[in-house]
Amino acid sequence: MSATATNEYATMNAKRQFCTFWVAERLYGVDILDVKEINSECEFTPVFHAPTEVNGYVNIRGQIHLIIDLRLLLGFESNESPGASCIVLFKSEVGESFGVSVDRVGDVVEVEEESIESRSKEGPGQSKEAERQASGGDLGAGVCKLDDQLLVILDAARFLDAIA
Amino acid sequence: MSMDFGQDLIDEFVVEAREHLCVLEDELLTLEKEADHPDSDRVDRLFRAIHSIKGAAGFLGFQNVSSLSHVMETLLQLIREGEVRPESHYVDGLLEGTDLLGVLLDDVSKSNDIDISATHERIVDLLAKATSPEADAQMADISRCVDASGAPVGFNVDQFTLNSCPVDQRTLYVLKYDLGELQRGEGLTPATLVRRLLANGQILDAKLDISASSLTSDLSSQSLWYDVLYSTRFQEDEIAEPTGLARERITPVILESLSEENLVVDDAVPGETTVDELLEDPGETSADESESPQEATASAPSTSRSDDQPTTGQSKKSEHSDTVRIHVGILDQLMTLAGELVLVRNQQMLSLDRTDPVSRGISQRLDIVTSELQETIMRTRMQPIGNVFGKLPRIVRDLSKKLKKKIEIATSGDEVELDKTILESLADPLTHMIRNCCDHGIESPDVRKKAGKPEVGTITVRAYHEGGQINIEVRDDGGGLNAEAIRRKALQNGLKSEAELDGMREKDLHRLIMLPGFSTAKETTDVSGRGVGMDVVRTAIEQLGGSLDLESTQGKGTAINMRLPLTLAIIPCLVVGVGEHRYAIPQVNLEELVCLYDDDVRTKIECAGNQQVYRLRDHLLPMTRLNEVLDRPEPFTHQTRGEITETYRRLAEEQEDVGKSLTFAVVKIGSQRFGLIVDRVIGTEEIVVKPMHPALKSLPTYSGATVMGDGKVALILDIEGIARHAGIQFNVEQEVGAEQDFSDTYSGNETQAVLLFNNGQAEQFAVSLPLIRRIERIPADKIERVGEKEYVTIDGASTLILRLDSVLNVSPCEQQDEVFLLLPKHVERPFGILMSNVADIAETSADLDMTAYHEDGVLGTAIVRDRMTLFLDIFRLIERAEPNWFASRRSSSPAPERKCRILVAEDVPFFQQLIKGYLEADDYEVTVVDNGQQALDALAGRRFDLLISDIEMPVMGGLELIRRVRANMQYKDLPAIALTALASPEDRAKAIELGFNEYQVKINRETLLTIVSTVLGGKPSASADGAGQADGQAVLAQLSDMLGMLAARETGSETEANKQEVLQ
Repeated sequence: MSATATNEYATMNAKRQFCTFWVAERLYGVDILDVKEINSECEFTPVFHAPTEVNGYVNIRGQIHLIIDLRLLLGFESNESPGASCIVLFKSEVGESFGVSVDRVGDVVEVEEESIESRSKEGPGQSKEAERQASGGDLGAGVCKLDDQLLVILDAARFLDAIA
Repeated sequence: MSMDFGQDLIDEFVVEAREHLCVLEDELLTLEKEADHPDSDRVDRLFRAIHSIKGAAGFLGFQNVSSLSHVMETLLQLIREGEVRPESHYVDGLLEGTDLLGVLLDDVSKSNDIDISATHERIVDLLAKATSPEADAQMADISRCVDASGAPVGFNVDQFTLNSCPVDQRTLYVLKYDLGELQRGEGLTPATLVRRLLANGQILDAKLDISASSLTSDLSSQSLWYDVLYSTRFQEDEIAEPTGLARERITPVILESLSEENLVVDDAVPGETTVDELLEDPGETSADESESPQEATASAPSTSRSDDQPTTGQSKKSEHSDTVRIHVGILDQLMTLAGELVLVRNQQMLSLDRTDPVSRGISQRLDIVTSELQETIMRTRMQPIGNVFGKLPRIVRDLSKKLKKKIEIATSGDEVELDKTILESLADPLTHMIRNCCDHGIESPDVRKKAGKPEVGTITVRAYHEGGQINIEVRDDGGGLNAEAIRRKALQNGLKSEAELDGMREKDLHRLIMLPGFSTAKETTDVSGRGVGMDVVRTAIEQLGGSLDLESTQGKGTAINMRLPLTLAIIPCLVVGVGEHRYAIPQVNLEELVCLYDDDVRTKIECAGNQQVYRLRDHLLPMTRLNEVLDRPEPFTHQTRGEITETYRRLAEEQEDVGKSLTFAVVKIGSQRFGLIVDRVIGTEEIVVKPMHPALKSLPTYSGATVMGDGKVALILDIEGIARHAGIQFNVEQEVGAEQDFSDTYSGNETQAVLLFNNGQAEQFAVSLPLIRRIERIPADKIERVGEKEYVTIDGASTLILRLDSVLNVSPCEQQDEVFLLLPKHVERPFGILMSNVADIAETSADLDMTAYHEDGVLGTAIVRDRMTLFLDIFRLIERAEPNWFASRRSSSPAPERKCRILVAEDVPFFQQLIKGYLEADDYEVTVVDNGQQALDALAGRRFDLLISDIEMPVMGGLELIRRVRANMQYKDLPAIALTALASPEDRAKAIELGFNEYQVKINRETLLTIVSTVLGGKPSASADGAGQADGQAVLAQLSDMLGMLAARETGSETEANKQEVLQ
């Protein structure tokens, strides 16, 4: 969720749309305005020596993108069968040509601005990983109850800073 | 007044203003040269340039830029009027102004805070001196502009300004533009508007009404009035169209003479009044009458005097219309897309149904269009090198003044185009070189005069295409490099040891100036000796993927030649594979590829400490494995390297399967090299470089990434980063090398280049390449017979033909229409060896088998290309064919009572055999040793009559040897001849100085034997010491004659003394 998007929608107090996806059977979402495209390309060129969360480089129409493994970023185990994953690419305002790999993409969800709870501070005993998994931790922008499950909203602009 | 016009507009202004500044600088320099007859077109161009800057700056509220350009404009105006001759001090003032404008433009938003008073005053002073009374009078004659009804319109204009307009353009109007409306409607920027107006007339004055609105808000929603006093040739009924204004916004103007009293004049010193008036600051003009409402507030630019744009300006207008400014980002994006299009095309070609002619045709066209598109887009990044060259004359001019030298610069090839990035990075090194030329290269006028050169030194800068690269040559006709001074300096700064320097040719010495920490200037000057030198230039050029070469003749000048790639965006790379991934090694870093097979894989990679090494042609090459480097994110420690080395050593020892072959690339960083072991080599490819993602910038191992032909991403390796990461020890050479027995390694690995050829059916022959002058193809029917002998005319000389079958027991030459003639070097009479066929040039071991086949004239045999090959001794062959050619020498030296003993110190086996052969053929007893140390040992063991020594040898070189020989009482008088490949006068002098009696270039057989014969001629044998003393004088004379045969040589008392020694 970029700053401009927040302002615009906050003042209008309207609904917000999130692009949702599944990581380790949990539902996460990012502001749809931050997303450039979703691509099923998943042949990464590994970049040795790069932080472990980095999947590698991928070529999208001549432009090289850095792909971060969202599983690892959120503190889950790496996916054993990477063939099933998808990548979500972000707009350049969010960060220079990058994306994240997710297990599978969900629907676009529209929620009331008011129904988004700012992320709850968990007890100090919780690890960074657990916190990230539950509420996005330092990557999270809020949590929203959907009809049947919880949607953890992540702030894509913080992904790049979070690696290494 | 600071206004917010939007960054775009300001950026555009800065870019344009910079272009104008370039024009100013160029033209001013030329103007100065033709001060007596200034070219009016040139002055016009100058005037227009500064005028444009002034106009836009005033408009944008950059007062400092505006007022500075205003005074400059005024001065130029006087030059244009012919009031002032553009003499040096005026040009100085204008250049100073140009520079300051450049500084102001650097950070234009803060330009108003910079103090410009010094330069401003200087130009004002110049103006005061220049202003003639007549111009004063004209400028004092001020008219007020009124409309048809006589009401003032808010402008005044002086006669001087009016007179400067072309006569047919003196119809005046006041035009009222609403800039806000223009932008909303036509999207017209003020700059475009001004340009449009200048195309048809002159803007005499203009003011901006900023009272109406807050200028901080966007132009698009506000009205912003811009009043222009415009002089044009258009009449009232025509004016609407060129100005694009409605009738009511145009006011025809009538001039009404003003009496002096009506004007508000600053109470300044009377003598300066006119100048001040002329220069009235833009912000102050409003102090005038405030009849018109627009005038109530501060006005924008002050009086623009004149501009004869319209008629002559047509060409300029068209210049503008055929160029478009595009942001580099867009071009880069276009490049990317074109690259992707190439990929799509490739994929399409692969999936193509080749049997369908229609789709094949379409695909071919797509192919062509794509290639052309890519090429064209590449060209958008290209800029003429003239953009950089253009700055040089100014630098030279300033420096020559400062250094009190007379220097001219000439450039050529300005139109040669280079990638923008390269061009930008080229500016600094080039400037530095020019400074060097001025400071160190060109001598002061009186020194030049004494040297018989013209007082004015010339620097030529030339750019041209060659072999897909750009060559830039910077040449000066100055003093050249002083090899001796460089030598001293290198020694003093500890850059090279004395021994290393001794072995250097003059050209190598020259190249030393490109080492870091080198500066020959005795004192550091503020011109070029700032502790940085040519090494910075070299580094910069090499970073661009280019190379630098240097050539200098003392007293004549220096030439530096740079070779640069056309573009950086695409670089040639070697693509290698490790595991399933591909990596690119930039060609700049690549020296060669080595592949080991079978047993070599296990045995040839050795260990030196914890560093793996490979012995590549006598040099130990540190090795590292790319897979290990990639596997370990942490920089290698001592321990890591140990582990890796141990692992592979154990693998090798255990005879385990380490692969059938092993490939490594020899890569270099500057002069250091190491071997990078890869799994496989895929091929070379031109790749488009993309920078690493910012989040990964800190990784040292990669310099970028690229998209390969199949659409996948490959990483580009940063060789220097890998060397650092792997902690490669480059000093391994010295450490291990010292323990090696040099003589072994040398004799084992020495190679020589030979020409392989055939004569008859059977044999293959070889001749050492350095002995061959050239090969001539001759038709068989051109061979003429004289008795037994055959001749052919080559270069106008009758050349004797030697048939190998006539002197050697080999098969005769085959009958054919065309034969080849091998013309050897170092022969006094023209002759050639007949060949039926030239096979190849090969690199062979210098070790010859002397036993397998022995015949006089054959040095020995070796297996080359799986065939036994006879190595010919050309000189012996001639001697056998034409014994009487050599009769004179033989007879002149009477046969000695016993064989003279000669000690030959020579490391290269080939030359050992050659020299030994020559000498033994002349009946000397020869002992051959490999180096200086062995020579000393040999000398200690027995008596010799003569020492012949190579200069460059391992363990102990010839120079050190002769020093020790001369220092030893026992054999200090031993005659000695230096025999070497180094032929420069310096080397010769050095050798003679240290005690050699003679200095011979290798393989000049005849001269060598003659000298040996002469040196020994004075004393027939070692046992008859002193016997030749009586003949001392005669031999000395003879020796001098011999020396005359040699090329330039140093004569001096020292040499003379040495000759005396020979005769003791």
